[in-house]
This record gives sequence, C-alpha cells and structure tokens, in this order.
Amino acid sequence: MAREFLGNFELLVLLALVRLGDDAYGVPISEAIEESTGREVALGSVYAALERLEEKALVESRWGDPTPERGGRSKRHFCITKKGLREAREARAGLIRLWRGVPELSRGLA
Amino acid sequence: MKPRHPPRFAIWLMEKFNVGQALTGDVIERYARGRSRVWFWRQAILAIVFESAKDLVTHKLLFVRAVLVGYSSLWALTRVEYLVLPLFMDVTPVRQPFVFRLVMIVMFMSTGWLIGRFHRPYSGAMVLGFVAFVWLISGPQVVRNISNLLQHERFVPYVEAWFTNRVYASVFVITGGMLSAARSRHPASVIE
Repeated sequence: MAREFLGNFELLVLLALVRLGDDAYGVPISEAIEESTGREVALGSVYAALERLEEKALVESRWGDPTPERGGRSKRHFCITKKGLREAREARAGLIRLWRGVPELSRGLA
Repeated sequence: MKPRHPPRFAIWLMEKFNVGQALTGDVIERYARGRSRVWFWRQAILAIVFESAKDLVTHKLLFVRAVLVGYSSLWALTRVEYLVLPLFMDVTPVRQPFVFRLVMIVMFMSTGWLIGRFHRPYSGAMVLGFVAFVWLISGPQVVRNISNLLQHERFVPYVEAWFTNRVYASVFVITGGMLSAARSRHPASVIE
C-alpha cells in the first residue's frame, strides 16, 4: 500500500503530542497548537486529525476518569506511537530537504 | 468566584449530534478557564459539523438511504396534504393560513423525525446531510433567484419568501430529527 503523506494540521498535532508527552489530551494539544501558530483552533478539527492519526496507527488513545469540571466527562489521552515518531522524523527530513531547495525563502526575499 | 455554567442548549445539541464526550468535556474545560459563550457556541457548532461530516463520509450508503427516506417522506406527506386533507377541510395558504403553516411544520418535522428514526445512532448527521443535500441541489435556483434580484427589485418579495420557506423547512426538518435522535452513542462511562 502506498504511504500516505501527513497533512499540515496532522503534523502540527503530532508535533504537539511529541512536545506534551504521554499525558496529552484535547485541551493541552489545542493550546500548544494555538501557541505555536498564533491562531485559534477548533477542538473538533483537533479530534478529527487525532482520529485520522489513530487510524494510521501513528497515535494511541486511552480513556481517563470523568471529572466534575468537565461536566462528568472523561478525558481521552493520546500518545504518539513508534510509527508516529518515525513518520514525524521523516516529515521533518523531507521538509528540510525541500527548504534547502529554496534558499531565497529562508533569506526572507520571497 | 461563581462557577461558570456552559450553555446547556449547546451541550444538548452536541449530545444529540453524537459529539464525543471527550471533545464535549474539553470544550467545557476550556470554557471554565475563561473562554466566552460565543467561543463555546462556535466550538460546539464546529464540533457538530466535523462529527457529522465524519459520520457521512464513513456511512455513505446510509446517507444515500437518508436522502431517499427524506424525499419519499416529503412526497408522501405532500400527497396527504393535497389529496387527503381537502376531503376534510379547505386548507390553502389564503383561506386557512394558520392551519396551512401548521400542516407544513408537521410535514417537515415528520420528515426529519423519520430520517432520524431510521438512521440511529447517526440521526443528527443524516438529518444535517439531508438538509445540506437539499440546499446543494437548490444551487441553480439560488443562482437564478440572485440574478433575478439583481435585474429587478420586483423579485424581492418572491425571493424573500423562497429563502424564508427554505430556512424554516430546514429548521423544522432538523428539529424533527433531533426529537427522534437517541442520546449520544458515546456512553458517559467509557473508561478502559
């Protein structure tokens, strides 16, 4: 089966997961993305990306306990898998190779 | 400090549209940390759209069936309205405007209810999908209406009535669907 490329947003979610470690769930993930991009993120889009990544076996999830401040709703904790880490590294290497091909962008001329 | 209560209706809608408890909980948690009600509603609507889109893409055949059920129901109820009702009373928009509107509301809500009832646990997604489909195939009519409006202002009342009826119909179909939707398919205690 042909390998699928990671979407831009999927890569952002994956990198947020790497940064947050094993205790990541929707709130810190969305906050990490908002912090790094400076744009508001829809939590629905974060979950849509996480579910796509889970289908590709790049992340795993487990349910936490329900808490009163969440209206008795459980957290869903996500963590990156080995395959996910490998995919993130490959995406990084690919992007670096591409950036090397456009030096004028890194000099801020374009 | 008084605890902030999230908008109950928004949460009810999220449950009816099968938004997962983890996502709903995250929206509530961020709201409790100081986000506005407008922010909550925006997140709730986007969550519903994402969840419904996912359900429609995952269950394409169900979606086709929902469209067929919707159109069949509208067709059958229109027959009742034009063939059976006149046997008992003279229901026209001019003579009996109130009864006529009531019949239309019942017709649209019944259609939504039927779609929802036959497509559990994806009722919300299928009803929204049906409404979106009807708007999509009305595209040429929308374009015609807008071009008519640009040509002459005498079309204003007609176009206004057309859009108002469509919006009302959509709202009542969705409301009917909501009434038949089961409680969220995500149980409240899904803990592994």
